[in-house]
Amino acid sequence: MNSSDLEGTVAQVRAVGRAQAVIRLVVALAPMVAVGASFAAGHQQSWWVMVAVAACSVSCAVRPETNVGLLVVVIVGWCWVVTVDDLRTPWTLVAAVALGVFHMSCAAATVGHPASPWSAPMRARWVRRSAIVIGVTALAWLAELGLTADRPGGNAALLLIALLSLTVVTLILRARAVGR
Amino acid sequence: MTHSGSDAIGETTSAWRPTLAHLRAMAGGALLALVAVLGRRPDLLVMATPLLAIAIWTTWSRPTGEPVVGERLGHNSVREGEATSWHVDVSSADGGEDIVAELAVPSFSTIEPASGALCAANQPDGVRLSFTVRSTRWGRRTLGPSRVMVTGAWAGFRWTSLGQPAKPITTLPMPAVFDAKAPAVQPVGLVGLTRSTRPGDGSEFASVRPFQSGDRLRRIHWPRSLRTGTLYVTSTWSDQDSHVVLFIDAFSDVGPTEGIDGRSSSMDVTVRAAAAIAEHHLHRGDRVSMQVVGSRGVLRVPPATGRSHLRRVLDVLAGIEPATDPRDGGRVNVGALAADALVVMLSPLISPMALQRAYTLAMRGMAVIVVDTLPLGISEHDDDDPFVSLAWRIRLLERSREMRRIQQVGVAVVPWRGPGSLDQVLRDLHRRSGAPRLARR
Repeated sequence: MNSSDLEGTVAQVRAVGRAQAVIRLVVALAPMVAVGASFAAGHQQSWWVMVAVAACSVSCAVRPETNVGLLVVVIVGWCWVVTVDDLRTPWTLVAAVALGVFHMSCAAATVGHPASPWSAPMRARWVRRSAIVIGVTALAWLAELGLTADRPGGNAALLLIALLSLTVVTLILRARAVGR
Repeated sequence: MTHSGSDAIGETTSAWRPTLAHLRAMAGGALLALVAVLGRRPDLLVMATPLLAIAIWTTWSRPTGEPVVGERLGHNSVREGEATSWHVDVSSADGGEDIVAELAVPSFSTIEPASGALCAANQPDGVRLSFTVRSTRWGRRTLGPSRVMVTGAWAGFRWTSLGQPAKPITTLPMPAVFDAKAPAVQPVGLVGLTRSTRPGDGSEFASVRPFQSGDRLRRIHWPRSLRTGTLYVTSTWSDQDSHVVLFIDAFSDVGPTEGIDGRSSSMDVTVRAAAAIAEHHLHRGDRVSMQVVGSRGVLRVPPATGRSHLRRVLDVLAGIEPATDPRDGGRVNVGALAADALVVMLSPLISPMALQRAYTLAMRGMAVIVVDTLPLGISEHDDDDPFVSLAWRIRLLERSREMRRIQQVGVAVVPWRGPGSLDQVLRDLHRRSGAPRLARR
């Protein structure tokens, strides 16, 4: 980034509207909440991971229309896998909701000009749908609690069903998203 | 912060395209779910749930309609400081949820909202987004095109308009405040409001005189006729007009310009003063013609009068592009000008060609007034370059010497000060018009 790009970025940050400022603040904070939940669940912490996630999330807040968001998702998932051993910890829900909020706010930040205000119907629709997704995530967490209550070590049949479901969903998504 | 949809710039076709947000939801969710399944980590599947849910939702509600965008400019022509609207109508965006329109602001214009972007939720019967564009300086510019983006659910798919051709908008100069109480210099026409020195058919009372053959019966002054027993009629002075020729010096445009709300350059002062003088004389019924030198194109207005002629003058003034045609030898086609015309030259007197023209006309015996439109404070100290101020002071000294020389041959040079700027010099010319003159023919 040369000096003119930097000046342009600074000017755009100054011109950002209130609605977009809130959205981008959420974009910057949500991944750190997810990583913080990982550290809380695993009783260990790594400042380097937190710094890396913070840098990436701030980058996403400034430029939401980049692939850095996918990198944030990967880092948060990797951090969860290597840090947390307890499959039934309630921090799972916190991390999942934070990851979902990150994605939703990042997508919302790409709608409209940074300085343009959102209309009330737009705000209501996004908030309503976000609540639905968070609710679905909570249901998934409850289902996970129910499934792992008896067999914390896993289940071969469940694994097969999950793999088949994943394959079918992936094929359907691919067909609808790319095939048109 | 980047504009949304920056990746859409440069697209050659309008189509619904998946966004990076959709890619993130699909790839991120699938990756987490795969690791969850292979690593026997159902907790990771919970983390993948929001991403997968959004990816499925987005894909299932993929937009199908081909949005139709219509753009309309409220007015093709506005005055300085006036505003018009730019409407963007979006319809047939089936499946689209959020509509964003962005409009680039041309120079010397302000836009409402200031960000130049509007957002709205899609409606079944279409959406209209309206920008208010205010033009702050005269001239011809183009407005638009606007860029319209329609996004689907969760901003997963985006449609970007290709942009329609920009629309031209003409900003007519706002005439400066001007008034002149001095009499016309050489009124000779027959349709104006200026009282001539000859009796004739007009509205200005002259005298009551005995009836002569050819007098109209409605002119009979009955009270006096009955009292004296002889027919008397009311005589009048004929109404006459004068021909005013406006010479616009567009060889240079000096000084900063900030539109009608801020500082004015020499060309701003020139154009607004010309508009004011034309408006004043046209309202009085005089004929006004105009000739612009130093600007690209043929900018010439033949003599005429009336309200529509004022619009014509303003239209030509708006089309001036300063310093785009330096070819001019200072010679004037005197044959095209009536000998009794009043020539008003508006110039910052930076180019010697303007003074050369004034000199040529004065030598032909024409009444010439040069209106100095150089803005005040042009030689003020410049922090960026101290030599600019020094250079201006030297040039202004030369300029004052040139002005003295042109005044010595009988050309009046007056600075533009708004109302009454020309009163004194017009009175002097009116008095001088009755005296014999020496002219080179």
